[in-house]
Amino acid sequence: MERVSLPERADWMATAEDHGFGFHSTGPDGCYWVEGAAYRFTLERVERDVEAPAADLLGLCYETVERAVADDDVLRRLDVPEAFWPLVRESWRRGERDLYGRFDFAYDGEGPAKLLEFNADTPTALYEASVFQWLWLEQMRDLGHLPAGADQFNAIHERLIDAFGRMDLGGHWLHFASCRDAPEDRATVDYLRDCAHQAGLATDYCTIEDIGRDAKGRFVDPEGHVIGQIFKLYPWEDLIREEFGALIPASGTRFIEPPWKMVLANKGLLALLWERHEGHPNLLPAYFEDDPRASTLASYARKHLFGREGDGVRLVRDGREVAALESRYGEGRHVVQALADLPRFERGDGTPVHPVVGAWVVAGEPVGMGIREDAALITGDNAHFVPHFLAD
Amino acid sequence: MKRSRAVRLALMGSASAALALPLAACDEPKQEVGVYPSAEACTRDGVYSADECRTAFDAAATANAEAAPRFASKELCEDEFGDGRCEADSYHGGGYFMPFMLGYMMGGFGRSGVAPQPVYRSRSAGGAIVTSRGESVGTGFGRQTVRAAATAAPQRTTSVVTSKGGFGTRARFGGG
Repeated sequence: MERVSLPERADWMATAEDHGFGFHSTGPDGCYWVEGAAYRFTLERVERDVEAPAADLLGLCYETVERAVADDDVLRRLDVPEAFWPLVRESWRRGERDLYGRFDFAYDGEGPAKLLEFNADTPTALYEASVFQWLWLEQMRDLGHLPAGADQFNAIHERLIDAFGRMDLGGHWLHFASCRDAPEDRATVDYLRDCAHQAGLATDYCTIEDIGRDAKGRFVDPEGHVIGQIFKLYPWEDLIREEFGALIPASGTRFIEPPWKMVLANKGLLALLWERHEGHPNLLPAYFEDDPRASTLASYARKHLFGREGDGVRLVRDGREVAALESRYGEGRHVVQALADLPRFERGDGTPVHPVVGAWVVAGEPVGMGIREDAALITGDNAHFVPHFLAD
Repeated sequence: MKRSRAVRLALMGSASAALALPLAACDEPKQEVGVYPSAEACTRDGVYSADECRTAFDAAATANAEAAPRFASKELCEDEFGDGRCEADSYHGGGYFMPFMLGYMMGGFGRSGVAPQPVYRSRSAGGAIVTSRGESVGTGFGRQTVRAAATAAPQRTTSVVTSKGGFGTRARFGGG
């Protein structure tokens, strides 16, 4: 694993905009997509150190759902309100399939990748990994800036279309929803909608805020269409705690991701995994904060069960706080996870930067990789997206 | 090869993008239709006979009574279709509101069997003309080429919105 400087494509911004990637430079520092640099891996390392562990961990995750639906205590520890236990259980027992997720790994190219977290419910940074990164590789090869044999771990696009075709969604309209005034989220659902459309599904869009209800308790879009099935880029833990949340179980609407993903989108998953698979090479020690063993960790990351995008994460090294992001969640249950040493690479100008390797899974299988890097130790919304390629 | 063999977008991106990503929109099944405000406008267009235009209009107007989106209040309806663009509905027993039928869509008699259907002007779709299923069929009247899916999509159940805004009230969320 190496961070290399490469020539920039002269017209990359126009290319991005033409392809629906309007948020290529929207970070707080005016940057997001990094042109002019890339991470190089060998195929062998990616297969051994990223793809295989992602497949293994996903299996352990599904095993954890199996455990949660059979054990009330697990759902209680994850702060799933009791009223929604049947919803979680039934969606799993009915075999409702999940679409996608992203494992975030600390990986330096040498030792085993360590799981930082699993974005199982609302992962973003999808389009740039699936489409724009792919296009970058094609163009860089054509321009002669990368060897003709350069490859990429990235079959995300193909596998998403394939997955939509195999989720029993045909015959009904599929709605896509994201929050109003959130352009990046909108781009993610527009992209997923594009994939569903290519899989032959009839699709529609509305904002999360515009979802209405009818007298029978069914969900209805602004044009009065009953929502039979919906992909929602909005956290399950919020949906079930809002005014319409109580309508969900009897609404007749099928949700993607399915309700059982609540178990995996929860940072408590990290503690549950460690509890059953202590010593697993790709796991970091992790405990619920009220577990006495939590205090054995002198260096740790403290995460809210529902934290997203680094929100509310506090890093402590040898008992001293070294980084923290504000939380919108305030108090509530947390996990503590042994502090991972994020690898350190250098930008072209010599400034240090910390990459996190995102392993994408679609329909139960690892399908690609996207790397975000941040100058800070918590990968938050200042992070930049850096493309990767595989070459010997 | 560890990557997708081809990456194409059908809905996203601009039609002018002609680089390595071919736009799939060109391959998509299309349907020729006529979108008219009245049977007279249809006849003037010269594609269909006066009889065909009238029969299609009547069928669309009948379908409108059943297929038009319904709302529990005039405000909810106008939110979607524009101020002054909604009327009280008598078909479902009163108490509901539905948008005015702007015109109708017809096409391909006997060949592809597009059922004549009502169309509406949608404010939320940026002023586009939409079917009762919410499929956009362009912004103006006359002959149009629309996605076949706009005419052949699965049936939808319509209902009456009694309230909205019950989701999305929690602190701002931004992906993950």
